[in-house]
Order: sequence, then C-alpha cells, then structure tokens
Amino acid sequence: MNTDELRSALSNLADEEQGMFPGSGPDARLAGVVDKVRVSRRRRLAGATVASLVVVAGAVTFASGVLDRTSPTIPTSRPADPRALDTVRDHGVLFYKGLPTDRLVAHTAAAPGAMSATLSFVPPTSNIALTAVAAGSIPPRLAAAAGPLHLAVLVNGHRILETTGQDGQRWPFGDTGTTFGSTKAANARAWAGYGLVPGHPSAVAIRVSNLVQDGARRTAQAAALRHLQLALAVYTNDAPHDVGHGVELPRLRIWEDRLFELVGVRFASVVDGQASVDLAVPHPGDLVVSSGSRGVLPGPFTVTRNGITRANLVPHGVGDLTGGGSGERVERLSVHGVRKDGGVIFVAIYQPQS
Amino acid sequence: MTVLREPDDLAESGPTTRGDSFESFVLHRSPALLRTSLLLTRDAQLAEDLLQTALARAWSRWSRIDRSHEAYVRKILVNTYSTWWRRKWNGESPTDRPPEVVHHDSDAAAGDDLREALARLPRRQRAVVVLRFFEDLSELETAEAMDCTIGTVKSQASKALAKLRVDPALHQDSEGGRR
Repeated sequence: MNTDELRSALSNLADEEQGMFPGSGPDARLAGVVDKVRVSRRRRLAGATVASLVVVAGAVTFASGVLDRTSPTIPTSRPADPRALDTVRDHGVLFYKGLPTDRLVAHTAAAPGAMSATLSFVPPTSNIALTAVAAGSIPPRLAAAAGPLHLAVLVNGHRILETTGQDGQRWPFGDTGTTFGSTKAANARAWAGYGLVPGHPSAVAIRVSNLVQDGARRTAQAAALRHLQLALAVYTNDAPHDVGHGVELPRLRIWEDRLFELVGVRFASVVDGQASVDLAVPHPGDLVVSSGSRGVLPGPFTVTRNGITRANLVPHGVGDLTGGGSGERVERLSVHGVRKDGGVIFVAIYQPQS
Repeated sequence: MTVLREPDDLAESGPTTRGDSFESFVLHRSPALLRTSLLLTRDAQLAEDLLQTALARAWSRWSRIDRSHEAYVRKILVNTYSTWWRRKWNGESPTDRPPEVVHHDSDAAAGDDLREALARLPRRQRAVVVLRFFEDLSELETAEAMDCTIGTVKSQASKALAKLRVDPALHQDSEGGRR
C-alpha cells in the first residue's frame, strides 16, 4: 500500500465509520460540551485539584420502594445537579466520607512522587471495598516520554491487582473501589481469602511495581510520578441489595463526584444459548450504566450502545460478575451474549439524583 | 440549537459573544473533526466523547485563540487522544473473542483490515498517519498539532508506514488474499 492508496483507504474508512455512526449532531454535541464544562467548573470550585480522584466503592441502600424490574421508568426531564458529597482531605487528596450505610473505615495518601503507600486498618467486617488510586494529572509530553507505569495493589501480602498503561500513553489512574463477586457474601468470602479478619489488623498497599531500566525513560517516569499521589481508602460495602434474580446492586452510586440513583434494571434469561437486553433511554443524559450476568457459565458477551459495538467483555470469575460502570452518554444499550441455558444477564441504569 | 452559556450556578465573567462563534464552529466544523476522531479512536462513542472533550477545553479560551480555531481544536484533540485514559469497567475485561460470528461483506472487510492495522500502531504513530494522510496536513502542521518537532513527525511517519507495509491484514490484501 503506497501513500496514495493509504489516503484513499483512510478516507473510505472515515466515510464508513461516519456512515455507521453519524455522531451526535451539533445540538447534542453542544449539550455535551456544556456538560463537560459544567463538570470541570464544579471540580475546580470544589477545590479538586487532582484530576483522578477517589470514588467510593460501594453505595447505599436508599429509600425503600419497589424497583420496576421489567419496564424502567426514566424521567424525561433533565435532573438538577446533584447534591454535594462530603469529603475529607488527606495530603491534598479528597476521599468521600461515605453514605448512610457505607462508611469510610480508613484512608491514606502518600506525598507526590512517593513510590508506595500503605494503609493499616482494623476491618469491622470482611465485606469491604478498597479504593486504590494514583491521583493526579501528568503533563502530556511527560506522559508520552515516560511510557507506562506499573502499579500493584497488595492485601496482607497478596497481590490482588496490577495495572498498567495500555500502550505507553495511558496511565493507571484509579477506578471505583474493588469488590469481588456480585453479592456481599461473595465479596466477604474473597476478602477473607486474603486474610481479612474482622476486628484484626490488616494492611493494604499500593506501589509502583517497577520503573524501566532505560535511563532517559526512567528519569521521565520518576518525574511523572511526582505528578501523582498514591492513595488508599477502605469502605464498608453494605449498600448492594437484591434487585431480582439474585443480582445485588447499590441503589446509589457515586460517579465523578456526582450521586446517581438506580432508575431501572432489565433482565433477560438465557435461552437457546442467547440472551439480549435492550434498554432505551428516551433522551440523552449523563447516565451510569451497569451490566452483568448471574448464574450463567462464563464467556464473552458484547455490549452495544446506540447500535455500535462498544466492547466485547468477559466477566471475571465463574457465573457472576459485578456490574461495570460507565459515565458515558447512552441512548440505547444492549448486552448480547451466547451462553448455555440458565441464568440471566442484565442492564441497570443510574441517573443523577436531583 | 442549544445555546452554550455559562451554567447559572457556576457563572464566571467572560466574553458574552464567545458562545456564538463557538456554536458556529461546532455546527460547521465539528463533523469533519469527528471523522478524524473516529480514525484515531476507532470507536464511535469514544470519538464523540473525545471530540466533546477537546471542544470543552477549547471553549474556555475561545476568544483568546489567535490562530485557526480548527487547528487549535485539532491540536487539543490529538494531544488529548495521545494521553487519554478512560475508566475501566469494573469486573469485566476486554476480550478479542466476540460471542458471535460477524459476517462481513468485502467492502466492510477492507475497512476492517485497515482498522485492525491502525489499531496495532502506537497512538502517536496512528495520530501521525491520520494527520498526514487523512487530514493531508504538512509535516510542519502535523508537528504543530502534535506539539513535537518535524523530525519526530518524519520518524513516526516512517515507522508507521513501515509497520503498515508489513501488517498481516494489509499485506495479505496486497497479495490478493483475504482472511
């Protein structure tokens, strides 16, 4: 393929991509920009100088009420900005204090540039959620020069998680807190397996697992690290509760400093090796979406948004998986998988709580 | 048409005419930038999000931009893309094993081959390819967009083209075969 052929092929590919997905259109795009500006302002006003911050792992069982499990009702008007969430600051890093049923057990943040952080705590229960983050924002040039940074998370000496940049420019900032399995019982069993005993001291650590040996890149990585703060927080994980079919989900979630309320879950049984859940959202909006399965054999499934394949995913563990979260705009989302008969897959929608 | 204005509860002083020209830009030029974003991200949702992110970053400085707005937004778009990190889904991992067989027609397959080949390029090489051979930017313009030197553009383009020439998807294509 010469460069002229490449030009032509790229143009054709762009046509093809745009034909499949014409985009949001100027109106929706402008609305999206407004939202992003608003979120950015809110963060600045909140004094959140770090770009990637701590998000509470669990959420809370909120007001009682019957969840519509078959026909989610999603408000057609745009909700007001959600209430502010209480935080506590540690070395400049903000941690959420928690919600009525999920509380902050312990937290720590290392100084910028530190290569590790350790948190000792006494768990009140083995049903906990762990947040481990590298908070901060690395200047683009430095990030490009430094390449991937490897982080390891250890619990009582067990390495439970290792993250890295994807292709040299992606950085392993923290995500929502880590829990295991789709139920509180499964989560508690998993943490117990890592030596967590209620009432007895435990220790979690996050550390840079290695810096590269190459001189220039090593210098860049060390410089990049000075823009990051390693931080840890442990929360109780009492919020998830059964929303049907044995699936436990929190009624409230925190996402990017906002509180989201569960407004609907739709299930589909796996029949003849297939199941598909399709949940239409009548208006664009900021939504957090969870999807997952319960009681089916492990295997890949596809998440489709607005007719475009978003990802092929394979759940961790056997049978059950915790729903994933996404802060993206979604108008129509479906989960499609091919499994053996039995079990369900689901899509859950969270909308900002006004 | 959505009117871009300061959120009421977050209002700051700023040029009141800024929104109009910005809206015009989004209306007329963002579709073209979306194509670039699509080629960079290879994902429709990510492409839209990347474009909106770049526009949001440009908006706050809109009235102070002293050169081509499009070049400015493109520069933000490319640099944001190069360093972007997105939240991962909890409890799930990406897999290259789709749950069902997808049947392609020949045109789609050709696009898929190039899409796959581009996906195997490191981000900055992919960006150089898109800017140089899709946007038809000069080496100088590409260097400005990527915030690097012309030498870097040349070397990244050379490496990218070398990889594309031996990429299995495109290589088989040129030999008359197709997977």
